[in-house]
Amino acid sequence: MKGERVVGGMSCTQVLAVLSDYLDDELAADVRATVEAHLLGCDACTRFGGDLTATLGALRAHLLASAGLPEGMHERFREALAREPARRRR
Amino acid sequence: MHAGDALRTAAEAGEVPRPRGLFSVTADRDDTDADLLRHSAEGDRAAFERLVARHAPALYRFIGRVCSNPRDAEDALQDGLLSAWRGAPTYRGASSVRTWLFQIVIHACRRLHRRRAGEPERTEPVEAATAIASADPGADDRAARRELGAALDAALGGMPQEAREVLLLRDVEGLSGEEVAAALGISLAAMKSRLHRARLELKRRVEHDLGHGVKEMLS
Repeated sequence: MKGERVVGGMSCTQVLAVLSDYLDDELAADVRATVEAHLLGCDACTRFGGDLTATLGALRAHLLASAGLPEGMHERFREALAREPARRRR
Repeated sequence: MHAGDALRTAAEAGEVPRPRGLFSVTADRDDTDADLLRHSAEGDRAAFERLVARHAPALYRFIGRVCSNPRDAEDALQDGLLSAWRGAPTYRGASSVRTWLFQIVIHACRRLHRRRAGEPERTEPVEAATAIASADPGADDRAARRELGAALDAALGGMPQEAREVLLLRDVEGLSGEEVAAALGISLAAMKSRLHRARLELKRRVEHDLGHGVKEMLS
């Protein structure tokens, strides 16, 4: 990563390696604190993390807004389900 | 009695008929997924239809982006749901029903890909959203969001299937890390590694397409 330096006890490369776990709140408290100390002092990593978060949020919003099931799909599935043999009671 | 009068009478008696249709969103809220699957295992097709009604939109949203064209997506979803119906008696509760359904649909999609291997690629554009939801879209804002949506579609479509799978399950459908690993049949550590690479790749592709970061576009 450009402009890599050690800030708050971590390098930019180290922060990048744990960035997903940081975004998912899956870091141990002490590691999380070190990452945040780095972010407070590193504009590049803060910008990178912000863009990554925005990208993932935009992906979710975009796909959740997408069209629903294809027309007629439920009828086709119901017909297919009706053709399945009845279960034998055990 | 007029049909409308009958409906009002039924409503007053608390007996309003639920909308019919396999994928009606008014699945019985009193039944848990496990209840519906148990009834399905006993042969109750109506219970299975209610279970499918709850999960089909999310399953199709996922499979629609993993498969290369809408026809394959529907085929894979139908194949997967029929597999779920047949396999209902084997469900043991090791994962949530939702995770189990995603697992089955993923297998169905992979089976379809194996069958299609060697056939000419039939890639059709997945029907994309017209715009990313916005509280107050002006014309410029709508254009920017359409551009972002197109960039996201292109980025996702250009990524390997295993990257799409993990991104969609974790970051769109919101499954937990453990659920994603179970659905994909991989270890949690492997899932995390795959997810991290996929997230960075998505960001790289989108920014390459747009020429700038996403945050700048949304601010």
